[in-house]
Amino acid sequence: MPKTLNKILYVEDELDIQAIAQIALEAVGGFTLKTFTNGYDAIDEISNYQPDLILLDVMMPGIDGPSTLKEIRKKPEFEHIPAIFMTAKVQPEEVNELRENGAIDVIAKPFDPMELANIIKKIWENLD
Amino acid sequence: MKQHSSINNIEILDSIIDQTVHGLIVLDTELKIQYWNQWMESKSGIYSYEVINQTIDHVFANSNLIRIKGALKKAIDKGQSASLSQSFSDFKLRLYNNKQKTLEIIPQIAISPLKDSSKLCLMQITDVSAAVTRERLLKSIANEAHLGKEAAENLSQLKSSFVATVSHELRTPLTSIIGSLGLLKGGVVGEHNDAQSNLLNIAYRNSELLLSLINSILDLEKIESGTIEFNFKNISINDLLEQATSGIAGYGEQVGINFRLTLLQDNLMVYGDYHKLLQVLNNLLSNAAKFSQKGQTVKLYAKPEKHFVRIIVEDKGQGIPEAFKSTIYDKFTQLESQDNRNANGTGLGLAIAKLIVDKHNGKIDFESIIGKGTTFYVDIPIASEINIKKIQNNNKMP
Repeated sequence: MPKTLNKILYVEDELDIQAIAQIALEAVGGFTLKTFTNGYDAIDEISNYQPDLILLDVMMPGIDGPSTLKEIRKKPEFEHIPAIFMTAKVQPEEVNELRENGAIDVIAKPFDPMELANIIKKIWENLD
Repeated sequence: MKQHSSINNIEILDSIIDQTVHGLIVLDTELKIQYWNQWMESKSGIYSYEVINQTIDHVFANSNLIRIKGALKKAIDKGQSASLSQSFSDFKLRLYNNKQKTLEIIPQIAISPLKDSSKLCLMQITDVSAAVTRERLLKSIANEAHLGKEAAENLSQLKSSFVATVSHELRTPLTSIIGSLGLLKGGVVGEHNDAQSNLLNIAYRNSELLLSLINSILDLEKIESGTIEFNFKNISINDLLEQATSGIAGYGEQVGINFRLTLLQDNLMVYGDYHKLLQVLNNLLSNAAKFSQKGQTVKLYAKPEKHFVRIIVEDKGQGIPEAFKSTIYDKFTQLESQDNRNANGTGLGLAIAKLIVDKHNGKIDFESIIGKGTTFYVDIPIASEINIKKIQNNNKMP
């Protein structure tokens, strides 16, 4: 386990979902969150925020989640940053593909907002 | 010793020739017609006396006449036979006819020299129009069937893609609905009174039902279309039963049903998809709980048979009415439980379970007595070499 999970960078283009996840992670989970509605802004701002974990939607206009992660990981300081995808595409082959794209785990949408923070904590605790 | 026929009367031979269902024409070295049988007369409307000593050009009009004449010459000059089969081309034999009656047939023509010293040759014409028409019709039906199959495959792919897209598109707004209700219900944004809680619970439960429906429809479509991949491997029956029981325990506590698991004394391996078989057992166990009285026990155990393992889910609940027995695996079939605890059912669970069991070359069945309970059986072939091969053959991706 790298260190205590505190700061999460969250990219989600759906503002409603973003608002729910923000409450679930901040108010319920006690995490600190920085949200973005597109991957480009997240790539530009990540160095200023220095998150412990990235939480990414998959299908987004402009640059999608996997491509955003790929760009972020090109920055040496974030080469190994843990990332979790959140997606409504939950078929096993789709989940496997996301894992192959470098995600440590995949959370299915819809998610239980009261359990979201716990799920992320468990994933974090299982990190090598 | 050579046998001689008793038919040597010319009249009898003429009668035989007249009754034949082929056109017979005899031609001489100048390709003038010397004989024209009754079949030719009746088909063409041209009488024998009208064509005798006429060259073949006066009677037949056809671009293929050159080919026919070539074959006739070879028969007369070199004694060679020929067969001109045009049955499957557009070749039609047309006759000139001064009575405005035309013979247009799809012919099969046989040309052969007469076996004497007359230098005459025989042209036999068979009308294969009906056979060719039939052949063409069959080809066209086969072609249409092929096109129909292609269209059906395209439609099936379109349906799969549509279901996957709709499922994804429905999940996005549902994430916001379930998320908002979940936070409200969880009291994250403030407390609410009992009536508000009740309404929130109704909304939340029905949102989850909608999600189950979307998931089930996607599952069903993928299994039916064969686009879902089954991850077959050797799996331990006892592991499967233990996992199924621990997975349902929370639900059991919630609805006041006890699940009792009995493991196999000598564990057995079956060849299957672990998660999909768990899905089947989860469905059977939750159904058993829904249709049992609070405080009752649902049993889960297995019995080894010669070629398969029988997994049994047994309840002492309300039982399945006769009227439902024949349609129980149909999509959207739902039986009302006595206390409406099946309100979260989609009516797709058993349809999916049956499809999954079928993919394992297995069998699902049940016995039920009203008021006494229901026992569901799932037979899964044991992981023998022959069973593994059969399952692999049956599950080749399309």
